[in-house]
Amino acid sequence: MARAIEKYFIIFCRFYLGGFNLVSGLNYFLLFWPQPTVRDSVGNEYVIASMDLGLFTFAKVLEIIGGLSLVTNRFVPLGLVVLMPVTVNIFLINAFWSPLPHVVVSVTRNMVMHCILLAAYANYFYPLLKFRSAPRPVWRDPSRIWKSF
Amino acid sequence: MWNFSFALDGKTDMMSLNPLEMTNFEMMGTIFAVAGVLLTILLSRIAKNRQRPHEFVAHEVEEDVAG
Repeated sequence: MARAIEKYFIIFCRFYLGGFNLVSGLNYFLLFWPQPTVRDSVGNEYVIASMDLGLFTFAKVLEIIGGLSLVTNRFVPLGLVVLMPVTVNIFLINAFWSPLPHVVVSVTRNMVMHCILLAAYANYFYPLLKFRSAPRPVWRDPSRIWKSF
Repeated sequence: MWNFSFALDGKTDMMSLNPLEMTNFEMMGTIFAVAGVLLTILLSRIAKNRQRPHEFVAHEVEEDVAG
């Protein structure tokens, strides 16, 4: 029973985070809803600067790619890694500085869900914990890329 | 008392901590999540019904025939 709850909770988190990011990313380009307005907070200048630099557009593309991978259950560990900078940035900008309680809860929930999913898919990340590592360049054997599919 | 109020107009009360009052993105996330879990349950039930014990039936095919 506990295993079943765990399984469906992970699926819930995957679909929630995927759906949230996918719709958020798509909405930036398609504008089916009004974009959230920037409110007065310490992180304002950072958000405006990132918009001017085009980083916001890049983040939205990452949201679409990561969201799609989570929703379709394809390349999920890669999708989690791609989405991580977006989630962390949004969390750091809003969690401690936003004057809006709803936003604070929302970004914290997304961050927690992301950490839960990273922990749930931990078996794909254990090789990163190698204490000593040697390079094995991709150009020596490019076929390893499609072999790993 | 928490009230059940989805907002599709992007005009959520951002001062509220009511978990049922969601922004459009949160609501879409919730819809995806609930639909995803229901779909998974449905698909696993269908798959469970399709699972049958494997029965081995020996057939002699042409390649097996010595010659």
